Amino acid sequence: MGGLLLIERAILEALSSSTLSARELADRLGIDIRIIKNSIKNLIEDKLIRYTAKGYVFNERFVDETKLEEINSLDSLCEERLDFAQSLDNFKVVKMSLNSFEEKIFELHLRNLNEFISGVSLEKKAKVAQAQKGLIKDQKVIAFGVANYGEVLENSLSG
Amino acid sequence: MIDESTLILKMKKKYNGLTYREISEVTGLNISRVFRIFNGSKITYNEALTLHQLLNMQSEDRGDFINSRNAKKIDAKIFRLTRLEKISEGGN
Repeated sequence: MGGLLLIERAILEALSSSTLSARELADRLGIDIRIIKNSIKNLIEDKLIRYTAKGYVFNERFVDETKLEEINSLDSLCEERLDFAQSLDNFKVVKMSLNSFEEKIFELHLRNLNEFISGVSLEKKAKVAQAQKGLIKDQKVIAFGVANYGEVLENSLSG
Repeated sequence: MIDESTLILKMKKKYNGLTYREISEVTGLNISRVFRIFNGSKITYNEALTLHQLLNMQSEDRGDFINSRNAKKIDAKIFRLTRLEKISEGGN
């Protein structure tokens, strides 16, 4: 119904690449183990993860397809994005007029940023093992996007 | 949020005529917990949230004055906040 909380999404992401104990999850995410254990309880109830002798794993084989669709639905992802926006300390929304030259410069910066992010992601995929060992809490969250003010207003009215 | 005794009264009214086993299946609570709660045992924070959520989820009166799309959004918000509280409060 309401998708996943950010903490639950992070746990699923961590478990999709490795089997981890609650303590290991707490260390990687930098979150109190009590909260991790409560989140795990919810995820087990939702049949998204399961417990094995080695630790918790993503319940890939037995996961309910409708549940997956629900948590990856546009509405759920929007809710998660809102949580991100509310949690980012330096999240900025700037409204400004750009002339055609400035707009081209801005597009160039955006393209560079996109290419940089894609490049880093590809590099990291190539070093999966190394990435898995990294602490999730140290990963960076980057938010960006641009739209015409009119479009934003229109979208806000359609809900 | 309504108080504990009102919550139990509402649950009893809502599930009037159902067996403890059926109520257990509907609520997801253990059957012995359902029996104890309905017979005056203290309810835990988690159980209260779950029951409260069930009551709200199936309430139809909101549809009278809120657009169904917005009602869905509100339900989703309540669901997320309830889940967040469950996680951070630890339940009991």
